[in-house]
Amino acid sequence: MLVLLPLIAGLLCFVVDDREAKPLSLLATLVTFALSLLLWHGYDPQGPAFQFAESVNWIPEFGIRYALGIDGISLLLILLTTFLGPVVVLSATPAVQKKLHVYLGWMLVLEAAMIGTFAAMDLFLFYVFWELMLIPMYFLIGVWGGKDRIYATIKFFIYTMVGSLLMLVAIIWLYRLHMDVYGEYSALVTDYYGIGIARDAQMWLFGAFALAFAIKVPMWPLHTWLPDAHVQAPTGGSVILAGVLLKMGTYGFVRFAMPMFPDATVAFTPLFIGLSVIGIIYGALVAMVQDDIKKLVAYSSVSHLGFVMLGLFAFNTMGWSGGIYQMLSHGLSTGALFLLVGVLYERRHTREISEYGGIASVMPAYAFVLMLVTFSSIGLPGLNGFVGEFLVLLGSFERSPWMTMGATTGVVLGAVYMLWMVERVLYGPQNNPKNADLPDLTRREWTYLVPLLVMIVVMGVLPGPFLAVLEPSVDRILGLMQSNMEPMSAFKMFGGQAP
Amino acid sequence: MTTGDYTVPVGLASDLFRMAPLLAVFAGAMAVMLIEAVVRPTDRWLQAGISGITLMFALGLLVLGPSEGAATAFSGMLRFDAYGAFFNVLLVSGALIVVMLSPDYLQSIGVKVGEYYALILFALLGMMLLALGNDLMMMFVAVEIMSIAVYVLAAIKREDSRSVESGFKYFILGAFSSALLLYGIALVYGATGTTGLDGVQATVAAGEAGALLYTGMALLLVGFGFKVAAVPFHMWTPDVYQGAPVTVTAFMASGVKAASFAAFGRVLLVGFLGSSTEWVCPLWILCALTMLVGNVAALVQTDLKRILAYSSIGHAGFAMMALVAADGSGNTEPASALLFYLAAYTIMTLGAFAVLGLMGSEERDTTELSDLAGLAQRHPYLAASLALSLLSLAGIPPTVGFVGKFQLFMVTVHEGFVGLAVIGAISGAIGVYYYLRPIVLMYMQPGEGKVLEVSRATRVVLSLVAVAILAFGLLPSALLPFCRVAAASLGG
Repeated sequence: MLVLLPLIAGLLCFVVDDREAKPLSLLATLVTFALSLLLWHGYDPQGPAFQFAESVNWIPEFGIRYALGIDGISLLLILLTTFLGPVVVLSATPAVQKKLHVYLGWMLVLEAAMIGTFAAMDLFLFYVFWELMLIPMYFLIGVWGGKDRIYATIKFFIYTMVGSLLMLVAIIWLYRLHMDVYGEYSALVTDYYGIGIARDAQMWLFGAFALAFAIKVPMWPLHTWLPDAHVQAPTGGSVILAGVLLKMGTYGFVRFAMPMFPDATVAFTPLFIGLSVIGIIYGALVAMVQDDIKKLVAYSSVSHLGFVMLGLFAFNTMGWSGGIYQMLSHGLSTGALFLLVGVLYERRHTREISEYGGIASVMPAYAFVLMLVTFSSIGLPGLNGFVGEFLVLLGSFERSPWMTMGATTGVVLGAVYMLWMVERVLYGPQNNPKNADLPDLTRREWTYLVPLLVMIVVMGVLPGPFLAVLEPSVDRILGLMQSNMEPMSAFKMFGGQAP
Repeated sequence: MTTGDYTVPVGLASDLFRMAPLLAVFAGAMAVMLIEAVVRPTDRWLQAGISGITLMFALGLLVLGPSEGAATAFSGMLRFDAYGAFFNVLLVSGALIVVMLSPDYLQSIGVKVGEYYALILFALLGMMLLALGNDLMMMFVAVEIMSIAVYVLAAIKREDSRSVESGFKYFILGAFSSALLLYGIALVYGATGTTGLDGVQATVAAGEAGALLYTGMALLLVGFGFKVAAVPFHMWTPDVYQGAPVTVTAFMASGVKAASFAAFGRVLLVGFLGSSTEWVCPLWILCALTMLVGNVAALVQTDLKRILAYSSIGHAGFAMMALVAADGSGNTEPASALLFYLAAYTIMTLGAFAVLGLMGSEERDTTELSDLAGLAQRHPYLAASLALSLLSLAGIPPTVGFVGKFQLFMVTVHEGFVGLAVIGAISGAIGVYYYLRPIVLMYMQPGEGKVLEVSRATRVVLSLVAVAILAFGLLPSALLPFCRVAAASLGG
């Protein structure tokens, strides 16, 4: 239902004209959001693993089912997606000047695919949604993007494709395994938890899945598509890309790669922790030297997603909850940052930091909002970014104190580049005459920024309800991993204790 | 022997009765030829109409006609089974689409030759026989019926040097490969004393197959490799595809390829069943090479027809994965995947060529990539249907191309050829790049171009193709049972 609604509305958008498409898409995203709130209301954290399950035979010949279901992790990510939906729709005008209805149509199709990806319980279905996300994004960047949009969009597409085709082969291999063991096809992911895959096979399978996911995250050194795609994408595209699409990669690890192949996960842990820390520091350092605001924010994503990965590879409740919390808050704060960059860009049509300076005196409200979002992004206590980051660092300190210290420098660097950017844009002498009479935030811009700001504060002050939904699911997956793993790996990972 | 209201006669009459769809096509071809003598040369709609009606009639006979179990006819020369019927439906539908596209295209490039339709029908007859052939000699004759008509079709633009070159090149190389095929058949006959596939199978099953038989088989591989455009026997494909008129290229890419695969599959899976250890290795190499070369070489092309030519090579490679996987363990899944993929490929490649066909004109019958620039502004629906066909060729869900590729990977991995599947996945990822380029041009770059006239027949074709791509992509179960039955009918 949640998938179909935006999909149908999106397809409708293609055929109606611009004037009708706007209210239609806004209504569709709002209703979707309301429905997902209902979902939250009805979700019982202590209940069964996957709730609101739907399952329809799709391709019975291969045992493929249209199976959807959510646990706490996917619930929150779906909420994030549906929450950003209306925000993006509102931000589309007047930034998008050509073919607005097609733009909104693709946005809605994208939203449907993202929700589907988060809710898919069937590996085949997951793959279909995963790929389906590519097409709208490809058009969004390619048609409505900046100057080098074509290069960026093709790079984005090919990168993702390489990873996902190998993942497809791995999915098929799993299929065959299920056939051999149980004599029937099944693609339900829950059937593969604890199927007992030989260690060698796990390594290959994990490799194939992890490559696809690590490209999407993106982990250093597979991140190079991200700055291009971000810089060239239209504002709404960037928001969705940073806000939700990147989380597909980390979600993939949580739902598929790690619980299905626990032994391989343990074996690869040092590598992934190392790459995460490199990503954190590298992303921060590169962000520091950027002249382009959007590129700076893009590299900050590399750094922040490094934290998420670090948390996930800590294998304890704290690290995981923190990582997932960080996914959510990164979605909010980076989404907000991209929107704010978009606000400036609409006024001045440049993203060069040096073009700005002293904006605070002409746009005080803007300055306030940007400061708040920046604080959230660098993890100031009381705002959302802090909770996730803190939990991640706590969790990973238990596992690898030295690496965690390395990562902590990333936090410091994060504060440096963000604040430096803010300083250069907002403060200092106001000596560029073109900036002298920029209008402050309009009512429309307030409309889509306020919900984000509210959430940033709420998630910072009251993490309880969110964590309460997360933790049972997290514990369940970690418990599964531990019980399905060889004793040797379990000892390495959990030190013989329950997580 | 009764089915429904029919009373099926026995003996020769029954054989002819089963042949009814083929006879209908033959009669249609003759009628078109005869009419050519009496109508004015400017008025070609009559021939197109007759061909269309003939094909619909044949399709009706195939779909509604009696479908009792598999049986051989004409002393074992042909075998009427679900496998052949599946291909015949596919081939006739493909030809019908080509015929629907032809009148406008021929008019736009100034070809006023009525024999065109007769040649299409004759070639189709050869293809249908090829799909039914149960004897190597019969197959050879069918290949020749098909090929000779297609040689002429490729060169049908007599005044255009490229079209003539295309036909000539195809003829020379085709004749060469036919000779190899024939030589292979001779060696097989020498080794087994028969050209019937069942007889060959008996020898193989008895374990009496020797070097002579496998030398013959190697030559057969080369011959069929040429027909399906497998690397390294693919050299003719780009030039011939580029030079031939678009509708003929579409016919070659869909019909000739599907029919050749039909025969290829039958020879390997019936005649040489159980000897897969001997041929799986060379076929593995051919398949991997074909996928890689086809997809890599397409990257640097700037002509759409050449891109689709290399794409057709790449797709032949994908389809061959199913043959590699069909190791003769009695598992019919690989054959079923092959059938599904060929059906999918026929649909999507015809969709792509249908749009290309609109772009030609009498002065300039080329299809440069740059001609596509800005097409989405001028013709949103044309651009959308071409984009859909290309995405399907690239194997992106939720299109039929994805489901087809998924099944191929599945059977390949299933039979333990994980390496081949990985090569396939990498080639597929490479292929995505050149399928995206036309889409980029159409949607993301401005361009001036002439406004195209789209006839009703073309519209119907494009809508049908688009619906089929999405419908079979979302609900493959609509097509799968047919593939399974057809694949199962091979053995029994």
